[in-house]
Amino acid sequence: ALETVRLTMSSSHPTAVAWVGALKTHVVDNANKRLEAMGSNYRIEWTEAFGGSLYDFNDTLEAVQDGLTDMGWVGSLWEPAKLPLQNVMFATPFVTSDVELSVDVLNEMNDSIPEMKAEWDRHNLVFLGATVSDTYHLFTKFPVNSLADLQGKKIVGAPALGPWLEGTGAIPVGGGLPTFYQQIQTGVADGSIIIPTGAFSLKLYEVAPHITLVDMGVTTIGGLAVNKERWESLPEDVKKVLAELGREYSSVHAKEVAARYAASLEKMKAAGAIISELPAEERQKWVDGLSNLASAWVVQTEAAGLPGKEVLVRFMAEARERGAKPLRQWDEGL
Amino acid sequence: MHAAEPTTTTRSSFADAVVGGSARLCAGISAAWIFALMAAICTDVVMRSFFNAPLMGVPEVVALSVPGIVFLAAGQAVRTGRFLRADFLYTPFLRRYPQAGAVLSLLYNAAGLVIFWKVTEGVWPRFATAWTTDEFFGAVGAFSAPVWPFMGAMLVGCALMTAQFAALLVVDARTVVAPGPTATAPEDAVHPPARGWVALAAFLVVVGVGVYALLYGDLSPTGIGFVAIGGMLLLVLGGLHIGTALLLLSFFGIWMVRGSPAIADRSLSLAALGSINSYSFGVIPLFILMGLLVDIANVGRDAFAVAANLLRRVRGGLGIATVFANAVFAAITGSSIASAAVFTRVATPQMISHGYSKRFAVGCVAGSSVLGMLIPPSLLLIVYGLIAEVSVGKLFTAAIIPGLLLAAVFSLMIFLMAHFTPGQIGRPRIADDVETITVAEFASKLLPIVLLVAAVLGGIYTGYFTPTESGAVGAAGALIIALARRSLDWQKFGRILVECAEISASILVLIVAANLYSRMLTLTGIPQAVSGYIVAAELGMFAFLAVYLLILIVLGMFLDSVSIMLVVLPLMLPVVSALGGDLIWFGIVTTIAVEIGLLTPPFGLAVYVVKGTLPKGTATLNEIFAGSLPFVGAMILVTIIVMAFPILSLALL
Ligand code: NA
Ligand code: NA
Repeated sequence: ALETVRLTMSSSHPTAVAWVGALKTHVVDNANKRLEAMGSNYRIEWTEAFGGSLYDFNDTLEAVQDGLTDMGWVGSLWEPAKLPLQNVMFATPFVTSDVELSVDVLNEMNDSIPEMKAEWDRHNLVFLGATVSDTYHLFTKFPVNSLADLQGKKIVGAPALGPWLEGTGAIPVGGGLPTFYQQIQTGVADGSIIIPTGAFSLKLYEVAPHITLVDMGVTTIGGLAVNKERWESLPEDVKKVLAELGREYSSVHAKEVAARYAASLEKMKAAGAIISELPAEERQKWVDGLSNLASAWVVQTEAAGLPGKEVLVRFMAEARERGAKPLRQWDEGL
Repeated sequence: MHAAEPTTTTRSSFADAVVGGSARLCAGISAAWIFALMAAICTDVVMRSFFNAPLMGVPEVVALSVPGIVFLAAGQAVRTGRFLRADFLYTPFLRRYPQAGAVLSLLYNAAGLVIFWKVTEGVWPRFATAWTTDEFFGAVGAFSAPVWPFMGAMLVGCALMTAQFAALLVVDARTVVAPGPTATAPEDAVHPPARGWVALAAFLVVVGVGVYALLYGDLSPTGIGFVAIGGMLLLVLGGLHIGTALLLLSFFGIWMVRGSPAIADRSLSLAALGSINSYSFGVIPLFILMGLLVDIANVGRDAFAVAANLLRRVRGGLGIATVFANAVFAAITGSSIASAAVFTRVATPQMISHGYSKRFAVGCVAGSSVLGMLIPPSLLLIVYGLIAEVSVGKLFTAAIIPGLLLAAVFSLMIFLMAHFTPGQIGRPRIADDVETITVAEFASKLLPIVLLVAAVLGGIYTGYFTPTESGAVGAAGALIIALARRSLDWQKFGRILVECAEISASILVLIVAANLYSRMLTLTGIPQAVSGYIVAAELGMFAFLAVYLLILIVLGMFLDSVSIMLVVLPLMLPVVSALGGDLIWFGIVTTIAVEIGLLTPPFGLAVYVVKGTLPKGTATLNEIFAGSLPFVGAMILVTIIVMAFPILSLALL
């Protein structure tokens, strides 16, 4: 006879977001087919709680950790204190804009570096697969042809991106995603540093129609995780299928992110946004003007007793090996 | 929102005095904090508009302040009886059967004690962490501040709320042991105490069966969800504080679904700390403050004087003037309660002295007061926006046409009644003797209203202000008007601020509770199941709306507007989305339909406010309910029109 396993899958964001959508379309929708195909007696009865119906973005880690949900997307970008090693890409801008490459590297590192796995373990989590967002560009009220155009301008972005503006002459302004539109409209900010898929859903191009493709690189932002106690209580068949689907989810959603990235630029252009590319030499000037973010990150993580240097060196090596062409070799001279 | 229930006792002890004193002190701090937020937001607006130098960190501070403000004033809200409950069954029971009533009250206060103690317990570790790790918030290079004072305010507030329930419990225990002099009203003498005990026992047996089913029934998650819904209706109608009922059922529901009381514990603190700590919730205290200030500045009286003057030669003109003045006043106040109170004082005496029947005069005031919460700004639309996660600004814009439509339908109805069924409204004389107004007076009466409307709504519609900012600017504007008219002294101002803190606390604690309740329902899978069922049954949008309207009208008879939204929306929003309905349009439909409950017996808040504001003996509750009846009909009609033509809501978006 078939046995039923009840599982709750949740997220702080709606399924319209690529990394949530694939939780539903790839993991939830395929799990029972896989179980059936492998001849298992188990079937999963899913409860879906997407779009923040159980918790909001502040609590993605706590909700899975505490068992409020069995599994869900955990945003490492909001947990620099709890998941510092997962955030290595925020310390290494301009390395790669390849989303699939990025999740592959992070998955590989989580599998092989014990301290990265331990970060999840310490918070009662089992990591299944990394998630990523698209590359960062500038959305401004004014055209940007060179770094000089940014001098003294207020640029709003996620607080973690503040250091990415260092040396450009722009003034970083903090803010929550939903407030960007109004901050620009009312002149609190003159523009934003943001991913195009996000800018599109916020309609930022209405108030900041100049899109300058700076291409600061993609960042991994967290991953799909399962509550550890719940994981250990699951039948082997179910674990096997979830582990398999979780890892596939990582690349499936990355392809989706790439597709939506291209589509949202197209749509914004059609809606009247003016898209231009930052000249290569200006882009190089931007990178060179940044302070040594990687070295600061290594100092900070090593101070907490973590192998920051090893993680960073390994990240750069893996990225280059898979074909990334970093504009700055962050692992040099550490 | 309900009339204050007497909670003080002549036998108050020293401990009670300490609890009461701390509650008042903390409510005072909360009140001052609200004023400080208003000042900070206005400063930010001015600095960024005129000096291109925004005040950094204001949104972050507002976000973290809201839970602190709310829980600091919550103890006092419990003490003064503002912590919402449906008392149409509870209060008569208490009056007729003082001793059985005291047992019931004791049980309710014990429930409040337990659940808020659990919340306090959950907040403590968060405070401790923030304190020991020097946790900071803010943005890189712009602004940062320590988290612990905010957590500390929450902790103190929750602890005080718990203490307040303990104090009430002691009072109840004394009444049970040694009941005071029994009720003296002659009609109460015919109720033998035995009946009270039987009713109480029956109620407790039903509750006990429910708890047993929940704990030992080995129910499926959906089954747990249905018990939680049934239990909520039972407990709320039985008079348990709505916030307590929602938290308690959420606690048990999450425990049962997730199989662990520890998870349920953590979900309580997660909700208390995480469901109102956002910038957009700052809008609630600010709009409440603005409403209270506008009320004391006599702005409503002026609107009526102008309208009465313009319509003095029309048959039924004073009735239409009441509607008209309500519509204008509605554009600067967010609450129908304020409208009902203001126009009872202003319009009722005028109408009665001009020959309108008492029933029509009071019904007209109660009926047209609903415009206060439909024409933006509106507390109900804000609450809907926060639950449904849609833009409050868009909701405000969408409500304009339906609001004006309702005002027009009311006016037309009065006009037709005056012509075809004059008996319904009395024998009104043409009101050409109302004080005539010179152009200068006309301007001086209307100017403040026009300026406030321009600042508050203009700011939101043009996108120059967030709703939260427009609340702050509006409150500041109302304060200036009140000061300029010398209708405010320090004492009055202090009282208004504390009242604002208490009302905000009573609403926002309820939002916290409803938030957790809807999370619990999500976990049981009921919303998914219900929307799946409705979609599968191919019930279709129209049949669904018909059922929905019916549910809201029935609930409206017993519950207040905010509670209905909090209880119903978590279940209905997924269905509307599944059926392809627009959530902005649905918000307008919901708001009008929910407001019908303001006018329907046995619990019709607008009617109660009118009754409470009238001089004693002017009109009975029955007369006011009867007088409001035509307005209820008009509202149902407008709800159906707005349902059938979404374009009315969406045209301006
Ligand atoms: Na209003
Ligand atoms: Na009612």
